Amino acid sequence: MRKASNREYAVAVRDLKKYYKLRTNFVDKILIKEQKYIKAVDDISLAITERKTFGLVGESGCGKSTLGRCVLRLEPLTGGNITIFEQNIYSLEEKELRRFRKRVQMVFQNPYSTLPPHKTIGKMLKEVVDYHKVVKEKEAKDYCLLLLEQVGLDGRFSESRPKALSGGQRQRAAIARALSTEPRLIVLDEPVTALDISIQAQILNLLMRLQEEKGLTYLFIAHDLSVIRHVSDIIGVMYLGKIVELLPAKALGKDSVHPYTKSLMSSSHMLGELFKSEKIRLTGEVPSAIDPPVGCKFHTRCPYSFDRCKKEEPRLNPVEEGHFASCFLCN
Amino acid sequence: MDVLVIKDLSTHFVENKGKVVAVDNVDLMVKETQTVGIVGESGSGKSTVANSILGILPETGEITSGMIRFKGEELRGFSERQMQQRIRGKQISMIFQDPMVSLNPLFTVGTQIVDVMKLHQNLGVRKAKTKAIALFKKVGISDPDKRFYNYPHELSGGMIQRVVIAMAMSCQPSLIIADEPTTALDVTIENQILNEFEKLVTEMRVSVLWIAHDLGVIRRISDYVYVMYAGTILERGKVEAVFRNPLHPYTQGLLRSNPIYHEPKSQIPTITGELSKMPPHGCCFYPRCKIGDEKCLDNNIKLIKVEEDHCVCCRKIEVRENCYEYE
Amino acid sequence: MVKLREFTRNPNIKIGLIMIGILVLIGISSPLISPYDPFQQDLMESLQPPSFKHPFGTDLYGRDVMSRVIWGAWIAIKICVIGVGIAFIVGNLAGAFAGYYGGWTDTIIMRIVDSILAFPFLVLVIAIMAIFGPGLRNLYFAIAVVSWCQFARIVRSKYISEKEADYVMAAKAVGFPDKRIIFGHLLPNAIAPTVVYASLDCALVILLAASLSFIGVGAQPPVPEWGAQIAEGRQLFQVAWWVATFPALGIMYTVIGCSMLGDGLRDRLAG
Repeated sequence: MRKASNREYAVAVRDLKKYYKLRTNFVDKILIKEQKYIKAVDDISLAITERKTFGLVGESGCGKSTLGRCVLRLEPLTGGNITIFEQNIYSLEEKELRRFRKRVQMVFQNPYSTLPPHKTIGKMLKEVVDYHKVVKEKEAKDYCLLLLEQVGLDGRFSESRPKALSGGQRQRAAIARALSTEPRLIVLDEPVTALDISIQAQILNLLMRLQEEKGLTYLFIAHDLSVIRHVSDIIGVMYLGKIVELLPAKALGKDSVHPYTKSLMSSSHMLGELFKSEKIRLTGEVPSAIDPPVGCKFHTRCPYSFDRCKKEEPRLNPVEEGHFASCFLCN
Repeated sequence: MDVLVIKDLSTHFVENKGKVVAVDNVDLMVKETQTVGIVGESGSGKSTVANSILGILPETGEITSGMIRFKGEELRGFSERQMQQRIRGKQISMIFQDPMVSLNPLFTVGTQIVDVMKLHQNLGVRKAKTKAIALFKKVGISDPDKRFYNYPHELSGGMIQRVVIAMAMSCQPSLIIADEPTTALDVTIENQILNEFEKLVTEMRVSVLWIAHDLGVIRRISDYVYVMYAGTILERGKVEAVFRNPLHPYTQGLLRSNPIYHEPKSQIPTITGELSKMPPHGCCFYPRCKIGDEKCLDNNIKLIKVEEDHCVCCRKIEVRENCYEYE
Repeated sequence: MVKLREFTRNPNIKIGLIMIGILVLIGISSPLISPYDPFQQDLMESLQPPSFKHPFGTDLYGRDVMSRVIWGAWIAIKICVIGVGIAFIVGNLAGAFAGYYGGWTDTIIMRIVDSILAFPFLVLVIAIMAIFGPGLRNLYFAIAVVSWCQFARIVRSKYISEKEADYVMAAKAVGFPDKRIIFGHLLPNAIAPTVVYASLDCALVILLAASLSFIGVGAQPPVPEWGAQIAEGRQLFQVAWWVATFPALGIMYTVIGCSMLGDGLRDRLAG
């Protein structure tokens, strides 16, 4: 893995591990069976450049949302560390933690549950603004209206409760909330997945515009490769807690090498046409995260797997400048 | 004979604020062994069409007009009992979107599919079980004899959808209505299931009415497509014709909204606004349409045939001797 | 204001509020509107049937039953507000912390709740009264001690289900501290079922107090609590039906009002 000096990057994740203990029942405890873990994030290292978008793509259960939550410091870590804007976020003191929360914000997937249901939009924004003292008290109301304008919501929505807003409008409100503390980094966990495609495009446009205007850094998590390709500068493909390919967005397509990435590209009709990549049809089900396969985690579904894949786990090795893949076929 | 012919179907829901028209004078047709796709965003009324066909609208819903002819018989004239005994699950099966709630969590999947088969085909348990396991194999379930005894929570989303597809096929229906069955699944699993589904449909010669909002899926699986918006059909035609040559501003906008067709990081040209207030007359898409004018609010906008098997509902398209132009 | 109007459109809420409203008015203004002093005895007027002079008649000691029933309303209100009120506050706090923090906090609080609920309601209250002595003050206390448990349970389950919601995670990510999230974000959502339960509990509590006074453990004579009045009037029922009947009607009225309000609130705020 390349050496990432903390100063270059907005976010530097090193050897991140997040394991969840499986609940053991009483009988197993007595028999002292080995503690089983779900390795949601298993030894991941990556770096995000400031003002750029890192696209994290993978299907359900790959651990990308868990990774997002770790970056937001919403989960205790099992191992590794995360450095954001030159601070190790897991060793922050209370005052610094408060400042951290100002600088790093999030937008989550479900617009129907991400806003507190009983607060009006205006009150919700004002609460955040007041708590972090972003502007002076008397300017707060105008500031909130300005936020709504920036995300394309009419000022009258300030008096509405989430119930009265559509999915797209709620997501805009969630983005306004994220912007309210003047953050530098925003973690977006499937922000457009639950939206209709025309609204999806609107929100993507909004996010890209805001990034340009405000110099934001994005960690964009999604399972839709066409969306990731559109918004990202660097793409990380995740599978069962590991990054299997890390490449610049431009290289996605003819240059991607990992079989899983290729299968993602050929999975949808339109994507397949765009990338004109070889059709890869996967077989079998996604293995369980509790008992992942030995060797390469992908070998059970990979059409190209051979003997070595079943015994050894490939490491993330450079393929080209800035392009890494963990597959024995690429060596 | 055409398996399903719908003419002038209108369905509304009664809510606190009044009546909401979900389906507005829809014509639709499914031929034998044909897969027809209905594509539309949320609020377009596509699911309501499906529920209207089977008569499974919620209490607040009501079909106000129209004809639903299935294999020559008018379904609206059927009593609830007739629908139950002759149609649902037997001649018309339905597959729903969310695999996690499609099956009863208290019973094994085997019990559930055997129940369906016993109900409609009068098979004994043993025969039904053998048939069921064979079906499981056909839809691509590995170790079908073991899976037979699994509970829904022990299976992944993809597996459950396969079971549901098997159940839908079990009584050899003439029509399968699939309401967004792969929307909630991972893309690689979706791919697998679509493969298996297509094979089965060809083999069993079933007609399919597939509802989705994902244009890629519709393009892949359908022979014929209907584009719905706010309860109306805006465009319809053979799938390749519509996708290669989208005519209605909405269809064009929908296709254009896909980031695939644009340079990364560029602003995606999309349809502005949201589905909200409907103008009382005329074209329902007018508020969001870039090329509309006042005349679009007149009442008489009908589907115009533009080419063979391709019709569009927009007055701005003038047909001149087999070619068409925008005014 | 529009929200309020919509809220009260529910017939149960409307009727319940009106009934309770009337009760509260009567209770608060009891010193003003009761025609006689409820404690004043007049043995000459003992056991007079209802008449213009005494619309509800008089009891064994010549006291005006109407005045006693009106004062009884005030006592009933006090029982509800103090007894259920304390239970509401304590129960909500306990349930909130137990549900949100889980772990040992949850275990300790819930085991206390379980211990209290293990005793039959009535038995426990009687025991408390026996320890601290009879009387209205101790009655309030006993009711509160026993009632808070149900509130705690309801609130706790609501917190457990809501605390994983997206908007809670969002609040954490924004930086709000735990206490702020518990009271500012979760409480408004979790409080609805407890409000419903509170109004239904009022009905139960009135009956409970009446039962206790009836068996002599609750309010002591000459306090005009409805249950005590029924106790006094029970033996006289054959000769003077009015002494027990009117306080009983009072209880019935209050219980119906509370129940309707509770039902209406449940329909409106359900889950």
